[in-house]
Amino acid sequence: MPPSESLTMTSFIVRSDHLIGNKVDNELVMIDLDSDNYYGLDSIATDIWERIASPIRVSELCENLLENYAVEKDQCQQELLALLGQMNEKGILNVVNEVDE
Amino acid sequence: MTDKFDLPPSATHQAFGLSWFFPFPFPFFSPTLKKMPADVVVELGCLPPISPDATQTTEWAFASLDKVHIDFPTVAKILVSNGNRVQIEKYADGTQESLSLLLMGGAASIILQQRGFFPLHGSGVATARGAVIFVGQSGAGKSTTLGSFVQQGYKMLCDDLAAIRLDDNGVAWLYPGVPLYKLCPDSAEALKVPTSDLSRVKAELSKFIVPATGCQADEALPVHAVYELSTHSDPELKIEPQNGSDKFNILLNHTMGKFSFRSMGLHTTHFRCAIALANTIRIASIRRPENGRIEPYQLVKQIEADFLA
Repeated sequence: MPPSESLTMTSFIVRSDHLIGNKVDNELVMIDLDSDNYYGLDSIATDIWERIASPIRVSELCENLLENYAVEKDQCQQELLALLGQMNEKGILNVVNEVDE
Repeated sequence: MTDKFDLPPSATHQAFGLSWFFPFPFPFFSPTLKKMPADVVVELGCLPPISPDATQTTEWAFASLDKVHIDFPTVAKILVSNGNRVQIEKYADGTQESLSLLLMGGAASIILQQRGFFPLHGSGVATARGAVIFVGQSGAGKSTTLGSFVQQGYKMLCDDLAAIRLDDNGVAWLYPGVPLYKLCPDSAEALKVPTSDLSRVKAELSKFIVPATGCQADEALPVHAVYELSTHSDPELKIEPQNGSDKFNILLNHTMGKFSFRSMGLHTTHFRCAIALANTIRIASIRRPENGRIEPYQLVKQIEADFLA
C-alpha cells in the first residue's frame, strides 16, 4: 500500500485497523492481515502505537510524549516523524492533512 | 472420490501424538501399542489435479483451505487433506527412502498445521524441567546437539520436526516424533557413534540415520525452552536469553511450512500460538565458536546450566 499523504507536525494520524497484535514481554508484535507482514515495536514505539488508536494531530502526540519522556522537543519531533514515516511507508498508518482554505 | 472416511482403519503407527495407518511397511514411525482408529490415513493411488483455488506457496507446494498438494520432482506427488489424510502417487523412479523423508518431514508438518499444532523445525530432548528444543539454520548443529544430549543419557523427543500443541490452559506440549536422528559424518565421529551398520540419507549430505528406539521419551512434555543455534567468531560458547519481539522472530523463522499458513487460513492461529509460546517459555540464543569443536560433554553441561537455572 503506497503512502497516501506526506507527514508533518500538523497532520492527523491514526493507526490502521487491519493489524492484530499482542505483547511479548513489553514489546508489541503485530501481523498485518492484508499483507501478512509482521512488525515488532519496542516499548516506546508500542506506547506510541497505543496513543494513536484514535486520530490525533502529530504535534499533540509530541506534546504528550514530552510530558512522559525525558527528551528535548527537537529530538522528539525528529524521531517521532521518522517512526511515523516508517509506519506510513509500510501502510500501517492513516494520515490526513488539512486542506488550506 | 469422497473426502471423509466413515470408519477409519486401525492405526499401525504412532508419531507426533497421533495414530497413523500406513498401507505399506514404514519402519521409521513407532508401531502402535494398542488397537485404535487411525487419526491419519495414508493411501497410495492416483491423485486428483491440483485444485484451481490453490496458491503456490513454495517451489513444490500448492495450498488451499483444507488441502496441500506437494509435487516433489522424482519422488512423489502427495495430497494432504483435513489433517487426516495423506494420498501418495509415487513417481516411477522415486526411492522409498526419499518418500519416507518426505512423509516424516513435509507431509507430517502439514498434517500438524491442519490440526492446529505449531510445527517447529527443531530437535527436542526431555529434561527435568520439560522439553528443550534446538532450532537453527541447516548445519547449525541441531541434531549434533541432540546427539550430545542422548549420549549423556537424555531421552530424545524429536529430530527435525517438533510437534508443539497448546492445551486449553495455554500450556505448550511437545509430542514425541520419529525415534531417530540424523548425523553428519563429522558429528558421528565426534560423538563416537559407530556407523558401520547405519543407513545414510543421500539427499542430505550423506547423513547417517541413528535409530533412537529405547532412548526416546514416550510421553509429551511441557515445553520449557527453545534455543536457537548459530556460530560466532569468539572462542567461547555464549548463551544469551532473548526478549520481546526477538523471541517471536525466532519462533516465526523456524516454523515449518510457514508459507502455507495464510493459504490455509491459519495465519492468525499461528500468530496467536507463536505469541502464547513466546510469552510462556524461555527462548535463548546459543552461539558456538565457528572454529574449534566443543566436546559433547562440555556442550551439554553449559546448556544444562542455563535451562536448570
